[in-house]
Amino acid sequence: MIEKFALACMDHRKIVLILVLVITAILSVFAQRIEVKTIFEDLQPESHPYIQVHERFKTEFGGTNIITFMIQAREGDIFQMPVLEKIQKITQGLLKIDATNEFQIFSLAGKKLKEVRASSEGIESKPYMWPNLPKSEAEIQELKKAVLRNPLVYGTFVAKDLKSTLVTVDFYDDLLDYNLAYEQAYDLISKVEDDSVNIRLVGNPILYGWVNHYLPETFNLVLAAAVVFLLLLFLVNRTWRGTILPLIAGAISAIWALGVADLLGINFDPLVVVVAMLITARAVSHSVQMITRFHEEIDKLDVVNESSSKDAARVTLKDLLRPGLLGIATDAGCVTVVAISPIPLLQKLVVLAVVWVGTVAVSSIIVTPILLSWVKKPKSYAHGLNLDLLVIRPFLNMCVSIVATRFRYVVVAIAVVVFVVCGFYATKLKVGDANPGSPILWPDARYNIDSAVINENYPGADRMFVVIGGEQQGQVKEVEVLNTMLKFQKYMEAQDEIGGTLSVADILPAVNMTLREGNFRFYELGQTRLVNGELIYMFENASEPGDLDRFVDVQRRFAAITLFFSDRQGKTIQTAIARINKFIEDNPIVEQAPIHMAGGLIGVIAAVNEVILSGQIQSIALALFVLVFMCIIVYRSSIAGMFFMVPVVLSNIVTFAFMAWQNIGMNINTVPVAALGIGLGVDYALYICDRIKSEYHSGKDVLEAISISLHCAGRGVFVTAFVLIVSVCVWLFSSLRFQAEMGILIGLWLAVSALSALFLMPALAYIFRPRFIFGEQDPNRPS
Amino acid sequence: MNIADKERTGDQGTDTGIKDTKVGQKIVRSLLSLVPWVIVGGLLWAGIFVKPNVTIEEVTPPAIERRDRIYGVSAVTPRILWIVGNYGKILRSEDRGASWSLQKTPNQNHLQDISSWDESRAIAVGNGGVVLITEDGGNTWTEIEAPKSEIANKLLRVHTFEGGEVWAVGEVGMIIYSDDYGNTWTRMREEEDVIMNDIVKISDTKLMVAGEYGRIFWSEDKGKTWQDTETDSLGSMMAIKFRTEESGVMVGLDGITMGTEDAGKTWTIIDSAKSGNSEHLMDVLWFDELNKWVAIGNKGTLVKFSSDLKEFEAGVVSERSLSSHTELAAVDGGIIVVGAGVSFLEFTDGDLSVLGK
Repeated sequence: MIEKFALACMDHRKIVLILVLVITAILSVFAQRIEVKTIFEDLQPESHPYIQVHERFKTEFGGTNIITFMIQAREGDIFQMPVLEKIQKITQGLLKIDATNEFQIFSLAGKKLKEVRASSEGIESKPYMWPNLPKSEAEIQELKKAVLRNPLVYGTFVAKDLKSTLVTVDFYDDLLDYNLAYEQAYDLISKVEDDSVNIRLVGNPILYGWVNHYLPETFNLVLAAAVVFLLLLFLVNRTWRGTILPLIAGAISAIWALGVADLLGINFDPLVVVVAMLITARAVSHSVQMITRFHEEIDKLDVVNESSSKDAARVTLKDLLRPGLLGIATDAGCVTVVAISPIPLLQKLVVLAVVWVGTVAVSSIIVTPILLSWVKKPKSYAHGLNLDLLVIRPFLNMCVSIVATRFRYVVVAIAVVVFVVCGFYATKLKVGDANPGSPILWPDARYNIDSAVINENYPGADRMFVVIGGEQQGQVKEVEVLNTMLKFQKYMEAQDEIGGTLSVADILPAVNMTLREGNFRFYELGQTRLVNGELIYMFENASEPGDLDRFVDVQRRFAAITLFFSDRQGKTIQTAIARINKFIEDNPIVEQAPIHMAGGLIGVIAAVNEVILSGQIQSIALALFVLVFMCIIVYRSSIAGMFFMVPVVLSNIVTFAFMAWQNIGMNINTVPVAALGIGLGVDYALYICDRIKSEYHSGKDVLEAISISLHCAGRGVFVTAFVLIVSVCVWLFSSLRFQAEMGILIGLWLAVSALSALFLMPALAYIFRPRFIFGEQDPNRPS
Repeated sequence: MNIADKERTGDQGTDTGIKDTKVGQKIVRSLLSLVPWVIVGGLLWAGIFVKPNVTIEEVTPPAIERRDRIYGVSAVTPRILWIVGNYGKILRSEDRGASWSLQKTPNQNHLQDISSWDESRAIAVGNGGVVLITEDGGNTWTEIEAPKSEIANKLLRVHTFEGGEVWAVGEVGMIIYSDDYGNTWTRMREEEDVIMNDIVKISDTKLMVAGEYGRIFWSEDKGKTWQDTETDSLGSMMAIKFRTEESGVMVGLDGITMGTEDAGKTWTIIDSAKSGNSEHLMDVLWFDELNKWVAIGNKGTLVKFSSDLKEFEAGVVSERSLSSHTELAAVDGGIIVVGAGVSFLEFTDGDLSVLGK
């Protein structure tokens, strides 16, 4: 039925073409409007319990968008007037940055960081240098002492070596614009920084600001890749149609996909550009297959007349419809599996990818042959360098001769060895970020250097909070609850990557000690709920309304424990989460005050990593299942499913091994690429095997069928793989490490699946003679 | 012959006369035809049910953790040390603090002080009136019932003496005594709303206690009867030590230091203006090596002063750490200082190195 429809399209080619043009024109309007931006909330799997805790408490206990300035004295410590002035300028400058939450500014020059001390009227708390800076050297020395004796500030907001201090601020999430925050923050730095200080800056809004900063470069790289691609295609194909038609196919599907995405209200994440490239590569591959086959068909015709192009295009369409559509269907099917993940970013991406892949069915499978049907048989080539003669044909001949000789066993043996070796390494693939710093940027990027310096000098710039209590009012004042909090904090701090923790339980002992004449032996929690309530009350009285909000809610029902992480590597977070669970398990007393995980940036990343980890096997297994199942249905053979699994499993295992070797973690950015890779790995093999099948059934012997297939479909495979691999190399020059790495991964995928399609699959077909290709063996036919 | 060869020979039908081979082939074939479906089923099963396991790296906490407060120390010998602290923590070192081993305790109360008779016998006291004793070097700690008040029960200091004698003091005027290595206890004074901060045994029968509000209590009959004096200081005295039967000192809040040369009959008060230190002092000890008293206290304070209370040298344990300390003890070649962490001072050049972290 599909075949009939396709051929009907060919018969009414003008109408179809006009229709396609009209739709393209309309959708191009929408495609231009698509929003290119990152929405961090899209990363959050809403149903995950951590995310629910995060969403509920993020305004008070700290969201994902905290940014941190580190003001570092170039000489000496920070306790000198020029440096203190800079700290004040940065702190005051924060108020001019849009969407900052002024109640969440923590700085020596802010009013939220305070020293609690005894006074004649009980206790008082005093900001360090707000509203005014110290006026004399003596006051500066007093400030220094005040910092040194407060463990909540010294080491946390002022580095142990006294050479730097931190200023942190949170944003109102709903008002925050990453680009604006990024620009305004760096603008503030450039106004304040001079010979006396170095200023460093990290935080999620800054990170995504950098990604956006490189957007023009990303766009240029897309263009560069396209130019390289066209040049190579022109060089290899030597005809204008061989160059232009794949380009048209790629462009049509891109316009359709982006247009539909905009209509569906989906934004385009700059980090997704790699996936877009991957799908465009699919469109181009299919188109090149069509063109290669068309050349062959039109060459076969002895008499060239009016209808010969159309006839050749008809045969091309008819013969390539099955492998083409099956390839597209497996791509779409495999990537759909990713949508099971509860992460909105991935769901949106799946919609985009499925639409995009689906459009390839129109742009490459239908439009390319239709356009070809108007093309005359070429009389000459556009240039004289015949790579077919020099490289491609000898290479394909080599492929054929390997199948024909005992070398085919060598090929299979090599594949088995690669499978085993890479399979071993692939198991070491990590979930989450595999390196400290952001994997999106290169290690020597300003952001990552700043991040490394901050994490070296402080407990850690990235935070997670857990919430304890929640069952009744005032629960937080319970001795058991507070004790549990301190024990929990101590337990968690044993992990090296957790630089420190902070909770209301850290403040109360200081208040208690102050009330007990400053006797350090009373640096402990109150012995009863009443005393603890009193201590909280004393502290509140001595401070401003809202000062305790980042530790406890107003009803004292919930308390937050903030953990500072020095990196956000997958294993760091996994270990922390596992240890929290262990603590809950080991301390039945916790049941009196349940611990709720987990908010803040690390809490969200933990949720994302958990979802990805638990979905990792799921998505790969299900994608393979979809692939196998589709092949079984289409070829009506269970062996077909097994057969086509070979190149897919091989290319994925090689890629995973490469990721493990290069320390590229399986994270939210790499998961869709991996799923697409499963669908992608099979396309080449489908074209090759389908052609072997149709040649064998038209009466050729096995070797002849393989030879013809390799020289036609195989040429398409070789050309597209070569051209695309070289084009993705352009991404190696990206300032975004993630894009460069994904470029390498895609190149690797293409290379392995092309090599297995050209060497391994024909060899396996020859050795095992699967019935879905060769049918029931006829004993009289020569092998 | 591998399966592929077998299949091929079968397919080509060149030498397939034997029936058995055909039956065998059929079985092999039908088994082989099941394989793909097993794989397909396996994939589906894996996709739905298999969840990856995560191997988590073991985290071993250091003996002395970052937020541990170590309140008490006892040097059994110059190399063997015992320290106690928050949440029932007791650690022992056999190598002058280079390494510590955690000992298991039956109680989670904060422990305030520890004192030892010898390498195997020691006693620790702390919040809630808890008393723990060991007779086997700390392998087992046993909780002992001791007299308690209904008001408050924090025991602050404990000191052991020859023959199993031990004295402990604490909140609500608590002074308790045992002469059987801490197994049974007697309350030696009535309750009173004053904190007893430290006790010293000056001779076989004479004891002296430093208390809250600058009060001193003494007994000439081994604690049977007590007298008390109020000194001119209103600030609480936190520690009392004698280097001879006549010559002793007390240190306390706001840096107040008092000295006596007549076994406590009269006290000379040195205030912060004279000593140059106004921070609380928590403990004091005489060091022959320095020929000086050394006192430590809040915010990293360390004060050295001569026996005649004429020369005072106020400083800090470490320039970079102004955290508070509660006790000190003499060890091989130096001083161990405990509090918010454990520090070690060398006599030779006054250098500080942090142990146990």
